[in-house]
Amino acid sequence: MKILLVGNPNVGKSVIFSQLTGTHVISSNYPGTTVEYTKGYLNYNEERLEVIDVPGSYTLEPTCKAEEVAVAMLPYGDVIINVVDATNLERNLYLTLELIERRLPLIIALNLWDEAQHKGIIIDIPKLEAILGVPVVPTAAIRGQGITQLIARLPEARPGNVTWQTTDERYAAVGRIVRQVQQVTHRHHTLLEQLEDLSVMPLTGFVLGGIVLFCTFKTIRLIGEGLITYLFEPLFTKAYLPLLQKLSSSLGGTGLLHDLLIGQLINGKIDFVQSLGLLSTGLYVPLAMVFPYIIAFYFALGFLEDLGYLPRLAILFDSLMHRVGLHGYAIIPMLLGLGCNVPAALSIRNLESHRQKFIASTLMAIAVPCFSQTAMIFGLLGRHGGFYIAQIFFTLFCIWLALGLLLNWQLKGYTPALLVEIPPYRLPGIKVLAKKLYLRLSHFFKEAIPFILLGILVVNLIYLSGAIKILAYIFGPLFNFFFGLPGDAAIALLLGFLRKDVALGILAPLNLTPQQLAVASTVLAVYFPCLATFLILLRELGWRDMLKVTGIMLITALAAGTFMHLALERLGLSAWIGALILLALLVILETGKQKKEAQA
Amino acid sequence: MKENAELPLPELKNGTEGRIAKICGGTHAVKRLSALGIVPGKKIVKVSGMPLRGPVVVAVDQTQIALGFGLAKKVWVEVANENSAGR
Repeated sequence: MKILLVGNPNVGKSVIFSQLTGTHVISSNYPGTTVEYTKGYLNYNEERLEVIDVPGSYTLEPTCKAEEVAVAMLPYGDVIINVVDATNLERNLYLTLELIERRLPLIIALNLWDEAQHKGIIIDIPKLEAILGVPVVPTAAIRGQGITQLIARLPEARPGNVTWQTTDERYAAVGRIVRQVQQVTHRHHTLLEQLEDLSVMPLTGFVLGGIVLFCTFKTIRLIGEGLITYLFEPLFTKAYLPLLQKLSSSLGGTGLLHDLLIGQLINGKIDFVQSLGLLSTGLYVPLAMVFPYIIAFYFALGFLEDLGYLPRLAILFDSLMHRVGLHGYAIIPMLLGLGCNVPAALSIRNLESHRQKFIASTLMAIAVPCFSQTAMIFGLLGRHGGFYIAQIFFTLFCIWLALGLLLNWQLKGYTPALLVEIPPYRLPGIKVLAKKLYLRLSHFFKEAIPFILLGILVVNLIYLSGAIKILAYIFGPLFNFFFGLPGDAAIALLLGFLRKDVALGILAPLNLTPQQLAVASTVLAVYFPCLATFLILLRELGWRDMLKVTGIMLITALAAGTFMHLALERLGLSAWIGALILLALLVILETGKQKKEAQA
Repeated sequence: MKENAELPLPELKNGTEGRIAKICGGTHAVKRLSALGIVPGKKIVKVSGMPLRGPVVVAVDQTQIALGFGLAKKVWVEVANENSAGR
């Protein structure tokens, strides 16, 4: 038997879902779309019921892809649990009436009951039940309250009473019902509510936003480093390394199989970063360097999401995003991309128009360095001081801005305005956070890791076959002229498109000057995303657009690398000043154009 | 002077309360807005507006909603007092 959870976004459907289901949960895409839904199981009376968390919808007359999917899924449910936000009865009941109209077996979970009480909202439940003709169960899912009653009353789910015929009558019915069952008593603005208001006001909003982002990055770093130092590093050096060393000596220390699996021995020892073997670098870099930060990242993201902060962040960034042809919510893929480009590429699917997807994908793939790339930059330039690192990130940001402005200027199509509900601040529940983390991590393992390993394998094959020497011979002089890099670095640049961290392994022992390292890092960070990201974007944008994006990537990489080279080696400060003036001109041009449009 | 005036959202002062008079937009904009409860006749409060043509936050039906500037200027609100204009 299938149970569908249907309701508005932000009403606590996922919380109810996590309370109803056990640990076996899967997240999948509705066939033919990029809209996700989660599925789990509930054990009831020795029966195993399937519970599906349907994408949040405001109405069954679809205004977006998620709602289309929700409507398509409805006929497959045996019982529909309509999750209603008790603090927002008027808006939520509209969907309820639409569901009743379709004569679906319905039971209502009147969620956020505790919050309604805090807000002084009193709802006459028996009266609501009588009017609608379906069972209504008050729940406070985050605290686990009401869940048992909800499950107990599942058999009572039934089609309700339809007392209207036209759309206008439906609206009128909502108003009438709410007046009959709801009473709002006055109470004071709580501290949390004052904080909510401050978060979206011009001055305090940005200050708070800065604090939130700062704390978030600090927390991510803390968790990431903690996991590396206390869990992953010891695992690799104490438990795994001895096994690998045994394998290495049993293979004789050299030979094709040895180099493929273990890599080259550095000073007679296995170096996890430089050996480049499938079992050494291939496992160490994604698992001990990147994965801990992915965990930390997803944890922080889940927390901010459930807290309700993300829409407010979108508001702060909306103006900036509009300049580059996106809107506030696009800040999420940009921030996600700092952890791993793969989930960022997946989240770009949620943007409404094709134009937005194109711009967001291009900007994200080119100018947002995923954590592998960031680790590479720090690994190569860390000991030369923060100056070069700062310069690289600043350059990336300028590329992001300049490219965004240009794309917005040149591309046809439209970008819809931001329209998003802002939920009140709620303290996230541990159970939901844990489930979300689990789902996201298993997604990462399935979508990203296979390609990471594939990338290392191919890199190794190319390296060992010697084909790379020929390519380096051809491209070497080119790279030398534009970037000021020696021939061996060319190998890193060519291979770096598969794995940035491998490039790190190749560049590290070359004794390049910090300036050269800065140029190499910039080019590597810009010119190609990892294979997994590339494939996901290809699926989303199609061949032709992906070809355009690739072209833009390569041109930008060439320009950025050359600029870096000139700025650092020859022109110095004047190059930076020139670039800043150009950027300022672009921004002024853009603002002027927007002013004209606003008056039109 | 006390007189009923109709103004687009971005021109209202923060904290102004009013009733939605009309939505000056195409069917798509109307559909998106009505899904969130922003329909003519509803009571609406402008909570805040971001500078430099940034988003506007409103309160409708116990919920807060953020509208991008382009969408916000399509929502015209009837206010009791003409002095509600300004930022």
